[in-house]
Amino acid sequence: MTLIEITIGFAILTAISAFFLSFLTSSSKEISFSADHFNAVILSQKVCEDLLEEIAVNPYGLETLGIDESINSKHDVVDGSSVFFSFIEDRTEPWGLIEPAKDGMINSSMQPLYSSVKKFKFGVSGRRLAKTGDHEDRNLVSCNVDFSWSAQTGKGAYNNSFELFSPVSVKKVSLGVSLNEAAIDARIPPEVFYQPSQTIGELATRIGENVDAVLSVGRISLVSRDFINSQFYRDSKDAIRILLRKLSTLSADDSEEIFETRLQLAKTWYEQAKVCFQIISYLEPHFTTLQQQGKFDGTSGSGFNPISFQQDLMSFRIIYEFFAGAIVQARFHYYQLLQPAMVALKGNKAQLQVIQKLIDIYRITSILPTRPEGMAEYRSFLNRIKGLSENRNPFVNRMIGHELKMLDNRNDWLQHYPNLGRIDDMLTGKMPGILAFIKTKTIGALTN
Amino acid sequence: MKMQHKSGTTLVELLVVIGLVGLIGAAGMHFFTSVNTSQKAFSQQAILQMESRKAFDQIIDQIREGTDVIRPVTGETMHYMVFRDLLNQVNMLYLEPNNDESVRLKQRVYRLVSYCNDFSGAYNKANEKILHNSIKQLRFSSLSPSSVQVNATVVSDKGEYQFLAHVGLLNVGGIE
Repeated sequence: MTLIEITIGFAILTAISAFFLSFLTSSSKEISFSADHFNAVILSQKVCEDLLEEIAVNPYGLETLGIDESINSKHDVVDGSSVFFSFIEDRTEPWGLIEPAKDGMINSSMQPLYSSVKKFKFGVSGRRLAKTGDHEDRNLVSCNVDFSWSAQTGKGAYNNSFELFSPVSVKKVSLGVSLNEAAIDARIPPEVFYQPSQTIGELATRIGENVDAVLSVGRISLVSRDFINSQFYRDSKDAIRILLRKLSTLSADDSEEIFETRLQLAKTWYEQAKVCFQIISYLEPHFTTLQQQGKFDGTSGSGFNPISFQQDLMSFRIIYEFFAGAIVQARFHYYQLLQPAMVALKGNKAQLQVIQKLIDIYRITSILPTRPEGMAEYRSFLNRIKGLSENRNPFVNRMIGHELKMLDNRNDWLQHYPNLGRIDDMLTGKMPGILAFIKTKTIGALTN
Repeated sequence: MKMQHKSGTTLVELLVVIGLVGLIGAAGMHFFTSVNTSQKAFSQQAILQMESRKAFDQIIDQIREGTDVIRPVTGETMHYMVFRDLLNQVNMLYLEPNNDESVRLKQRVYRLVSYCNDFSGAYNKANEKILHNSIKQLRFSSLSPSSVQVNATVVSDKGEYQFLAHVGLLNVGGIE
């Protein structure tokens, strides 16, 4: 064997070694990258799940979290740099509370997670598909989660895009109850004006009034009378009487029955309030017609029967009062479902659903013109829930903080909730005028 | 004077060649041994990753069948989880010591057990499933009644892997 042969052999061995070394280094980098990628996928899913929870309790979750259409800055996953990784777990006293600045973050004591995710930076962007209007796209938000990290193979990146349902547009339904107007109108001449043989047009001509005014008086009268005499109204009142009686006989330790009875009471009151509001919404334009035409001002109008109309106005007033009372009663019974025994029985999911229902109801009672203390009651309720959710449920806690902030500007608050805005238009915008109208026109009935 | 011609190799040349071959051979052996060791380590890391993903998927799949988190309650962190499923059965995820694996891995590890309590209320072995054999630690934290955060560390021969996940439950249940 010559020296040349040995040199050639040595060179071949070196080449093979270099190849293996390169293969090993590359494998090592790939394995490491694969682990990082897996981590990025899991952490990105966590951010998605957090956003889903946020939006589920708060349609303005992105706004609350300060998420914009583009990613302006990226945050670390560790050391509590981001709200998404600040409520990880409860590791220190007081037990049962996750404190973001204390034990909620991923810090160096959480190994090996801390070391493996320390390198990650991430950003979140989001936008509502339609910024204005009532197109379905307005109820969808598009989110984007970007993770990046420095890897031995270069720069690691993982992106996750998804859409979430977040309803904020006006519901495409009439607030007024759906009635058979043709059938009601046919009853106006015989039942309101005692002229069974005349049409509305003939009747209007005979008494010297216009058709719109006759229709308005007729519909207000008949719909109000019908509701007060309806089977629904009687059945609802009976159902409430029976449920209250049952509730009074239940033993305090019969939590299941108490819960179900209370829930039925709350639902029955709420359903009554809903139907009453639909009637108010349906009849409101007719009051506006009469007010705009100056009917019943000074004289009672040339052809109307002021006595029967006064009675019908009183019926309408009862419907409004019934609505206002029923919504407060529904609120009371839903509130009772938050008692510790009830929560222990039905769990936190039912508790959260009751809180969400109560927030909807409190919003309505806070704008009732006949309940001036409504807003203070709502704020007080929100503050109680804020205290309860502090360091427990960050999604609810943030939603309430955002709601309290919005309440400082009533118009801004109502613009954020267009369905509530419509109810407010009715209750605050129209009802005081209607109630004043009824009061002046029924003063005789009240005082005589 | 005629020079005497020498043929073959000298003893010195032979010794040099043998020495070089021996040196290269030893270096080569060492290199290939280390290559083999590294390859094993990489394979084990890949297996650990695979095991972790398997554990992750199994935990997630199990939790996603739930409708209500019973324990931990919101704000709480626990080493086990209790939840209700669509059939109103109470399910539990918890750890129990795995002594054999602990001896083999020279550290305390646990089995991850999933148990579904059927309506009889009595223990039934058939309702028990082992989801993983070597979990070092497992913690469940609740931030809302509809989801749970899972923090788990999976152990294998060549290290440990910790993951953190947020899992949503089925969006049903509560008050009707």
